[in-house]
Formats: sequence, structure tokens, C-alpha cells
Amino acid sequence: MGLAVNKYCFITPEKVCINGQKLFDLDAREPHEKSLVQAYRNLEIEYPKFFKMDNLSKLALLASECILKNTDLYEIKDKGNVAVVLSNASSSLVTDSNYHQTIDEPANYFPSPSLFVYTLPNIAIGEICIKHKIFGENIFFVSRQFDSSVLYLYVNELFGKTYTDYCIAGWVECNVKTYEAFLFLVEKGTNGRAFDTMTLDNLYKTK
Amino acid sequence: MDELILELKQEIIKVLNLEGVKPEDIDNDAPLFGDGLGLDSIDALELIVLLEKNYGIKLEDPGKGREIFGSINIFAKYISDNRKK
Repeated sequence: MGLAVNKYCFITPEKVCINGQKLFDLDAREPHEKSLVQAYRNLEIEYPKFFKMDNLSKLALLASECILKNTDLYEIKDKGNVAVVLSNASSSLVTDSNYHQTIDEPANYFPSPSLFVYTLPNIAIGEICIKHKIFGENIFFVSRQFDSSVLYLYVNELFGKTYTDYCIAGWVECNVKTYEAFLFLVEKGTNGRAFDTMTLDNLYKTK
Repeated sequence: MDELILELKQEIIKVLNLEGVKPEDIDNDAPLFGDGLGLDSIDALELIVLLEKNYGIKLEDPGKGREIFGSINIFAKYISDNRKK
């Protein structure tokens, strides 16, 4: 069975790109919260829940929007055949740390429920699935750096052994210093770039 | 009471990240949950934390939130009657 990558995107504090084309610049001097909101506005998304999310989920949601918008998938209501496979290095550490600050001092012990709910990286997958009504397989890997082999092997397995017809996959890293999303859409077929580790590594290098 | 109502609206907007909502957009008599502001169960928990953190009110029965969060007016009166700080 042939698998292909026909759409991919990058989001960094400097810019948002889809299929190698820059969509718009972002101001890297801005705090992450602000540049992510700027990207949200530039992408003309209407989804108030975005503002309640942590930065990792915001980043993942923005990247999924870049991947799905202007595809046939975007309008399909029940996406049971779409999988989401994400990965990063820092898990949900930024939010874990922010949450910890709310419980660190006994005299100021007010655990924040809205921070607590984001203290797992796979919540970012949940936010993508809620927004786009995706009901397929999902998993979040944590690895030191972008690992094309892990993603390739797992996604390939999903297509071979489950009802997966499409998979949104990639790297969504968010730490105190920077953020970076590299998402791609894998689908059945031989048109476009072959889905393999070389393609993924080459695309990742173009960031 | 007007001062408390305004303060409460500003805090709710800040704590619940209600982007684009201004204090004057929140009807004093409208339910906080349901159609109005589109708040969810996590928001309710966050409001319970706000009660304790800002006003020293510890809600022993979370179910009571349904009654207290009936509207801004009800919420403000409850705070005014029970606040410890």
C-alpha cells in the first residue's frame, strides 16, 4: 500500500509556512502567548476555546488548522478514519511547571483546574480531535528530538492494521525558550512525496 | 455592590480567559453557565478557586456552585454576605 505526504506545515516564533510557502511572519520578540494569538488571528480561526488552552495545545491546534484547511477532510463531520500521531521533547513541562507554582507554597495553595487539565501532552491531541471531530487512533510520543523512524513505523502500522485512511502526524514542541510545530498529513496513494523517513527528514530540514 | 459586581466581572474575564468579552457584555441577571458565556465545568472549578483565593470563601459543597453562579447579581450577593477578606 502506498502512502504519501501531500501537505505539511511549520509554525515557529518567526513564521507560519504551508508546503514550503511562507503564509505570514510572526514577531519572535513577542512572548509565545502573543505570537500564537497573532497566528490564530492571521489564520482567521473562530474558536473561543483556543484562548483557554496552554501554549502546546494552541500550537498543535494552529498546526492542525494549517494542515486541514482547504482539504476535503475539513468539511467532513465524522472523521473516524483520521488518526493523530504527535511527538515532542518537552512533553507538557511548561504547563506542569506553571501548575506547580499554584501548589508550591502552603500559604498560597490554590491549585488551578484550568492549568491542571493541560498537564499531559496528549491533551493537545484531544483539542485537535474536539475541534475537527476526529475519532481515529491517537498517540503522543516523547523523544529527545524529531524522530522520523518512530513516526514512520507507527503511522505505517496504523494504516496497515486499523481503519486509518488519513493521519495527521509530526512534531509539536513547546518549551520556555521556543516553540516549533512540524505537522504533515499522510494519506493513501502514490501521488506526491512518498511517506518514508527520508521524506520526513528532508522536509524537517526545510524549517 | 456595583463596585463588587464590576470587580467580579473583570476577575471572571481574566481568570477564565474570555477573549473579547468586556464587563459590560455580561448581563447581571443572565445565567453564567449555559448559553450566555459558554462556560464549562472546568470554568466552574476555576470560579470556586477564585472564591477562596480572592474572598476567603471555601465552598464545602461544590454542588452549591449551581445556585451561586446563577447570575452575576447572585454571585456578588453571595460574596458580599460570606466574604472573609
